[in-house]
Amino acid sequence: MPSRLQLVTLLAFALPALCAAAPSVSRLTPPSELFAANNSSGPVIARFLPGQRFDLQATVRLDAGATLADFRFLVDGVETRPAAGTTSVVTTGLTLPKDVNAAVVSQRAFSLKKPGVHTLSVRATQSDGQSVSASGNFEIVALERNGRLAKNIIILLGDGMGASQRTAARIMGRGYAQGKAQSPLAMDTFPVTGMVMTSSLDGIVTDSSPGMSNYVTGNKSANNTEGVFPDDTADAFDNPRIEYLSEYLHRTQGKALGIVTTADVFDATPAAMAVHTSNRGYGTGIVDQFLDDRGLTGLTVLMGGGRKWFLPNGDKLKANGTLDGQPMNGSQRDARSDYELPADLVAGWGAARGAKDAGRDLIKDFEGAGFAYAPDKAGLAAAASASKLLGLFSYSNMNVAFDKINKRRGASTIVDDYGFPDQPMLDEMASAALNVLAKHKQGFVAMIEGASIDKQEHLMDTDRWLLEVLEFDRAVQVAKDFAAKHPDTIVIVTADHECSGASIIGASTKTMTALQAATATPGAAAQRDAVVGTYQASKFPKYTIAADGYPVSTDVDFKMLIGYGANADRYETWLAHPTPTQDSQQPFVGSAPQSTYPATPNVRNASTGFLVTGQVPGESAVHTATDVPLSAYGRGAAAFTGVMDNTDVFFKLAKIVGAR
Amino acid sequence: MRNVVCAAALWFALASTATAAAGGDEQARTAAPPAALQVHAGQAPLAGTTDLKFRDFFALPIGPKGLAPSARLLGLAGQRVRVVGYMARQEQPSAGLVIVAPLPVVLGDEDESFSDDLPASALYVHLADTDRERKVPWMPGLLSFTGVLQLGAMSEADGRMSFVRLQLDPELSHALVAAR
Repeated sequence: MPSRLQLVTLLAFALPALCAAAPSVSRLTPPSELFAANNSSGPVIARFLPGQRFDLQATVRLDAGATLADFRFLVDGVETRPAAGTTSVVTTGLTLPKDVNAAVVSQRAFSLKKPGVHTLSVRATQSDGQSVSASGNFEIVALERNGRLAKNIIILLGDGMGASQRTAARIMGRGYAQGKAQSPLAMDTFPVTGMVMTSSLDGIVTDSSPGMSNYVTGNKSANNTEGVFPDDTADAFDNPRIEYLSEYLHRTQGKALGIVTTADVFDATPAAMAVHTSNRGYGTGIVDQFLDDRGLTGLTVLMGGGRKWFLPNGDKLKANGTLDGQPMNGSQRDARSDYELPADLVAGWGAARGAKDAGRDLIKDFEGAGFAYAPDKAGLAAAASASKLLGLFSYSNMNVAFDKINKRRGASTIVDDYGFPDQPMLDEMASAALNVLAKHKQGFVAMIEGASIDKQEHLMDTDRWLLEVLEFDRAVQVAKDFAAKHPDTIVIVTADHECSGASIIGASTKTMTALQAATATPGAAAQRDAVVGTYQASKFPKYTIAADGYPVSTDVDFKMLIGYGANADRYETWLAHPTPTQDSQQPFVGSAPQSTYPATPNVRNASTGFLVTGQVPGESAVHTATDVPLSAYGRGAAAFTGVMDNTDVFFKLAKIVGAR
Repeated sequence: MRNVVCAAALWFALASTATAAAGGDEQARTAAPPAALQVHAGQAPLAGTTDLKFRDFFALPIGPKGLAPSARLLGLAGQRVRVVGYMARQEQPSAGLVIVAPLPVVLGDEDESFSDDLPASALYVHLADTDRERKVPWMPGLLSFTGVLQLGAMSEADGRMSFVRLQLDPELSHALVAAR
């Protein structure tokens, strides 16, 4: 038995060692349930194609005063062999608490071909010799090749388009008679339909960034991030990357990439096809990366709004107070939202380093890279023979179909108020894009987005999002027609998520004249109790469709009524709003006539409608976690049936085009 | 979604916390507009001063290579003008300047805010040299700013680039920083 002196001596030496915190690993990427919850029976979170590239990363918490001496990644117990220059240790610019001593260690552009679930481990040693290891897992998905392969992939993405939105557009655009649709929407004619689960890595409700990128990386990303996993650094462009479908297929099969949207092209959905960032708001870097990394993605077509990101900052004021040229052009380029990659990312991925260059003339650089530039519908027609195409049709988001079509009919000048009187419709953009992409012999991946279905749902502007769905469906028809002529094409129509909890609650029991008259006595009694027809009181509204394919008016007798399950406060009249809600990004916002538009949905119709109290705070409706439909047409379409995760879609598409 | 809805929502959220923060950090403080900057309907500008409206900043329609300054704006460069607008609410305003917009906006320093909420026609109002180190508390509602108009790209203290600036009249500058 040791003496008291011996015990005291032992404790005196042992206690400091026992009290010193050993290093630990607080994050291991790719994410896994094995690492996060020590759950070996849970789902494998990260899955990749054979040979698909992704980054390995770990955050190692070190003892105070210690430094990182060494780190290694191991797969199935075997050390990886990173190429020279493709690893890094980052200890500054972290988002961890200031008193945390940590190192973020990375190995870039790792890949593995052997199918199966693999164990990923990291071993790190700090300067005093203490070491730590931690493990997670990931899967390489085996793809069996069978059947004829597709060459082209067309993804039609109705942002925020759930089942209700499809049904409502069918009722308005096609009409019903005695319970039967007079004819189907184009997307209804696709032979296979399934349902998609849309959650992101960090929430049951996704935003549009992972909502899109999960389809084209095969992996769950966190909200607000595009093509990356989360990390603990502040840099928005250094996160662990996941190779996009476009990058994988450009690298292995030489396919081209086309991106078409009615939003600003820096918006979440288009960016989540090709750009790697943890912050969807970094517009300058996002649009730069579209061009800079075209060698990785095969970018051949980029169309939408967002000209503001492509303009160089205006001429600098000289010391003598003079200017050489134009002092301003509306450029929103900003060095703080630009990108410059660390060396290991550049070396690993072969990516462009980038630069904080707010003065860059990106339109000029696109043209220099062989892209024809179309600033409007006329320019789009003139660029028909182009081999690469850039279309920037507005300053920010494009005007919506409701206002574009009314401009063409001479019934509205809303698009003139925004400064862009000649904007193309989405089906016209889709047609032009496919015309260019079809010239690419190795095939292509195209994403065509109806962006403002979602944006108008946020605003609970029923008539505007309904026409957005109809416009989107016309683009679906263009894609279907293309696939009919090019049978080596797979076309899918889906959404990134549902938005607003829109539901078709019934139909008005009033004529339009009576509905308009009810605005003189605003309140639930006159505008809800006396108007909303449910069940058999909801008759079949008759919308007259004009030659341009859109309703002559959405304000018809006994019109369809839409409610919202994820809404903010709003005043409802059931009538179409003659003007959109103010958009802070439009150049002439705040000045007449835009200043006469309603500022927010909760003041719109405040004097003429009845208050519908929202379930969510704020002033806009929100996304929901409900599953969304996916319809498929063309080669390999049969794969898209049943209920699937959004990441499953990636592997189905890859298999159809022969990835292995 | 990037529009006035989001901006207004954040504005209300910040406004609701402003009272609690009052008396603390200058950046979170709200002040009543000084009389010299208040807007009075029908009030003519001072002699030698021209009214400039936000809608006069750019020409319509917008050209293929971006917005173009209007002839009126170019013609007023170097002259005294009066501009009426809203002070942008910032989480971390910079000393010596305020940003004025044609509608209420809230500017954060991360996420989408610095990329996306500030209208193209934003006006950077520079305080007098003696107030260059002072931060201005946020003031609600329409305000009237008078000073000398300056055009051309310039890097601002907040990291943004400005293109249209107003060198505020010294007495208005002093009134702004003294507002409580």
